[in-house]
This record gives sequence, C-alpha cells and structure tokens, in this order.
Amino acid sequence: MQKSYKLIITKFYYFVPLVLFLLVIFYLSGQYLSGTRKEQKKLVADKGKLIQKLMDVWEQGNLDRVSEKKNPECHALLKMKQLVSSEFFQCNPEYLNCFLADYSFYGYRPYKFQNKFYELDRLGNVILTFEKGDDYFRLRLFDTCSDVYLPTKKYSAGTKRENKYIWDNFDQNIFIDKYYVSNQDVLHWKKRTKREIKEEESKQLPFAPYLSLDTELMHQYCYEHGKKVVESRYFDAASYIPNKEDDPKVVKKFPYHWTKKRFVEEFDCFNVYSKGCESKRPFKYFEGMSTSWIGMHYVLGGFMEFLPNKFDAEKNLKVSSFYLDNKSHWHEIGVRGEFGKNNSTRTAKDIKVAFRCMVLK
Amino acid sequence: MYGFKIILLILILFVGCSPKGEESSFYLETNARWMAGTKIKWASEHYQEDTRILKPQGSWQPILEIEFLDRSFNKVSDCLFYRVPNDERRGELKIVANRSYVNCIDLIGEEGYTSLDGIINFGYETSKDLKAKSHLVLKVDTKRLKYQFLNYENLHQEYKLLDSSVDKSFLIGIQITSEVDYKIHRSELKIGDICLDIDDDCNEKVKDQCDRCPYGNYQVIASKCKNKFRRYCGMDKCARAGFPACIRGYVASKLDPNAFCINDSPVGFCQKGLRVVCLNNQLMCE
Repeated sequence: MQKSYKLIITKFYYFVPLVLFLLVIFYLSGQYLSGTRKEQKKLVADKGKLIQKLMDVWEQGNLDRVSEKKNPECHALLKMKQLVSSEFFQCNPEYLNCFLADYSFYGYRPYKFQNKFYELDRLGNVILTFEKGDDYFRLRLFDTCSDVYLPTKKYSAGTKRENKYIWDNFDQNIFIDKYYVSNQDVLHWKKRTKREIKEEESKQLPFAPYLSLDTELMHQYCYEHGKKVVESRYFDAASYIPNKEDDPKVVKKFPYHWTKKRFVEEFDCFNVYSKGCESKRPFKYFEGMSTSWIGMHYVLGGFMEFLPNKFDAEKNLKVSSFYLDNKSHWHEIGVRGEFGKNNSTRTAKDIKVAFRCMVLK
Repeated sequence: MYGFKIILLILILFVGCSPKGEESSFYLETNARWMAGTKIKWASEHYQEDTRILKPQGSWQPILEIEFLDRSFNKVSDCLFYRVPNDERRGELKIVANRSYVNCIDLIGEEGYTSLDGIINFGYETSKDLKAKSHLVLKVDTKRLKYQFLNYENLHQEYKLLDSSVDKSFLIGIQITSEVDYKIHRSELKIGDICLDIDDDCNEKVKDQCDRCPYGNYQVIASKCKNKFRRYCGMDKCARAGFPACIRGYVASKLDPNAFCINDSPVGFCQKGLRVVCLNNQLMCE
C-alpha cells in the first residue's frame, strides 16, 4: 500500500512539470498564432492605406516631398525643377521611381526591374512589385492625370465658317490628352517594345514634346497605348467654346478659345504662344497654357501638331505655333495646313511637329 | 492513471477556453484574396436578397461568385457555397476556387480551399453605395465578416467635364493583386477579331472583351442600336477606302436607326471622294 502510494507521488513528481511544460508550450503557440493572425489582418487592412498613399504620391508628383532625397534616382529629377512645370511629375513613373528608392511597407520593399522600381505593362501602365522574402504583391497604377473628357454634344469641325462637318458624340466617351506626347513617353515606349533608340533621342529633354516627321510612328505609339492620334474634329470640339445647348440647331463657332470676340487685335502669350513671345516669357513645358474649355492645353500657338482629318485628309496640321508671328492668319481654331506639304510657313524639313493621343471608352 | 486523467481534463479545459481560430482563419484566407476583388456576381437568382438563407435544407447551394485579380492581374474567381442547416446538421460555408471559368453550379461537388461550419443563421449584404468601403458583409450567426473590394469596378458612372478616362474604378486609378497565382495565360484576341458585338435591340451578342485585344480597338456601325457599336481589335482606320465608315452620330445625322444600313447613309462618313456603303450589314467606305 505504501509502495503504491509512493509510486503515485513519484509519477506526479514527473507529471506536474510535464503538464506545466505542455501548457506553457500550448499557450505560447496560441499566442504566436494569434499574433501572426492579428499581424496578417492588419497587413491586409493596411494595404488599402498603402494604395491610397501611393495614389496621392503618384497623382500629386510633389517634388518637395522628395527634395531631401540623395539617391541617384531623384538626382536627375530634381535638376529639372526649374525647367519644367510641376504637372510633368504627376503620374510620372520616373517620379515614382525616385519616391520608392528607400521606401518600405511592413518590411515589403519595392522590387527593382532592370534598374527601375517599376515595370510597364503591355499598354504602358506602371506596375510595382512589393516583396518580402518569398512573398510579394503587385500594384498597377493607371494614368489618371493626362487626359480629359469631351462632353457629349453636337459639334462642328473645321474653320468658323465651315458648317458641313457636323457630328456628335452622344453615347461615346472620348478622352483627349491635355499635353503633347513627350520624349520620355516615347523613350519608355521604345524600350518596352524593344524598338531602336537613336543616340540623339536619349539625349533629348525628357519633358519636351517628341517632334517627328514620321506619322506612322505617331499612330503606332498611340495605338500601342490602346489609343489613337487625336483627330482634327475632336481637337476642334475640344477647342471651340461650346454652345449652350447640347443639340443646337446651328453650331456656333468662335475663332478663339478664350473669348467670344470674333476679332482680337493682339494675342497675349498665355493664350497664343507665337513668335516673339520668347522675349516676353520663356516657354515652360507642361505649363497650363492656352487652355480650352475641357482642360486641353496648347489650343493655339506652341508647337505645330499633327491632327489626322477624317473629313478632309489634306487638312491635318495645326499650323498655329511659335514659328509664326502674332498677326498670322493661322492663329485661329480649325485652320489647318497639310503635314509635309505646306510651305506657306517653312520648308517641311524645318517644321517640327508634335502629337497627342485620345481614347474612346 | 489519475495523473493522466487530470492532465487530460486540464488540456480539454484549456482548449475549450482558448479563442476559436476557425472563423479567423476563414476570414483571413478569403480576405487576402477578395481584397483584390473587382466584381460580385450572384451565383443563383434565388439568393439575391439580403435575407437569411433557410432552404432547401441540407443541400449545398451556390450563393455568390467573387471575381478578383491574381498576381498577374488576371481576373479569377471564387464561388461561395452554403449548406443550408437542417435538424441533423448545422450549416456550412465553403469557398471553392474557380480555376476554369465555369459557372459556380458546376463546382458544387468540389472541395473548398476553406470552410466554416456550425452555422445556424447565414445571410449577406452588399453595399448599395459603390463608394462605401465594405462592399460585402457575410452575416454568420452573430458575426459580421466585412470585405472591402479595392478593385471594385464602378461600371455605371457617368463621366463629367474634367474627368479622366480612368475615373471608373472604386479606388481610382490603381489595382492590387491578391496572393493567388494561378499562372493563367489568357489567350489574347487577334487583330481583326470582334471584341464586342451588339444586336438590333442593343444586347451584347459578343460580350465586351476588348481588354483582351493586343492593343486598341475600333467601332463599326453594324446594327440598329444607336447607343452601342460593334468593336474590332486593331487600329482605327475609318474613312479610308476599304475600311469602316467613321461614325457621325444619330443626333447629328437625324437618321432613323432602323434605316442605318443604306448606301450613302449619313450616320457614317468617309474621306473626300469616297462614299458610305452598306456591306454585310456594316457601314464601309469605298
């Protein structure tokens, strides 16, 4: 009897620490799992905040935010500050590249592809990959800064006197780029599509418009972004001050985008950046100049622009530009020349022609 | 023997009193995928209302299909099934990964990648306001499992002056991927393929899949519908000889849509020297 009692005591002597040990292990593993779960839950919730933050950074392109950064990604960007307006940095992958250089989120760091913190998808949208060890997630950022909506109305294409090119865009959602396609845009596209990049192309100012004589290249650029080159009729619609009614009996057209006056003695350089303006104010790229009612820039003046014309194929060039002085008759909405053939201004070789894209949703 | 029983008792009490992890793991697994959600589709028209699901008792029912983005930005989906409780068994939720673009009903016998059982009451609600943060709430007994769909597509937005072309998604201009990696290689459409087709009553004969075109797409008037047009993958070359007529619009042309396909139809236009013709029920230039 005494022996068996002693045996129980001995067993307890072994069992009690074992029980306590098991309980501690069980408790700690529970705590660990619950902690991991909480962390995971917080991570999922905070991904939403990360998205919102990156979206703000992407859309604002605020140089002050990165002005203290010393990394090489930001160096080139900060040097441009005096040369280009702040709009250039909005929805700009190079700005994001600078911002992400020393960025981390819950230990996730942006992954570098070929020396950049972003890659471009088939249509040129920016993709970021955040990784931590073997785990990763990706974000795709769309360009919410570059184009503006053309409201649905009945429009009239061509000069102020032209009245046979009537059309409407009811039930069609059309968006037009605010600015010209830049050298940086074309370089990104050529790299992405493995096209040849000439040495002089890579030395151009990234924010200056891509100036080409090759219209096929312009069409191809826009098409490979899911868009098309802005057509003359859409450019006119975006330029003329709109009629009050959406479906007027007669579409009235005024020759300038900032006034309903039919005649203006002299243009100011903000509305029409023409020859001679360079002595009054420097031409700053991506500056919100010569702005139309929908928010499109460089309606008149600035660079010549290729605008394919479906009504009249020969009238496909916005001639109004800083090649022409203030009194030129070309500084009116709807007045077009013919790309490559019009020698009323200069020889075709001298003319540098910009372009922009539009998209139909 | 006594000692063993005591240990067992303590362990049972400990396990019984510890927090239940099943629900939490169900939520974490689904939320990690559905936070990249783009769309909710009802898998059965009988369960579209925000009410408790009570019948048919004892059977598995497809309730919802949740579409989301995988790591390669492919749209993939999960099917949510509910086994309605009866007198013998409590209800159970299971989530089946829909890897092969089939209807949820076809996956009814498949194993779920996660499940939640012991349910007495189940219902759900979707947010009526598309801009609200939580878009789906699963009501499991007294618990509310809230899901925020970060990529939710707001397809009914009307554009306004100064809007950008990508103002359509719920969280404007950004998409996030989930943890899923199905390694799907969706075949792209080819240039010249129809990516959207519309019948005379404005119904979609070929559903909109223009995002699968290699690049852009263009419109052609090919039905009596005046609001939507057929779309092909490819570069828009309208108004040129041998290509579709550009669209002038029905308001500007004042044409009755029933008579759209006539030679010299004013609803389309071509370049100078060419005329609009009706070829194979499409307006073309020649």
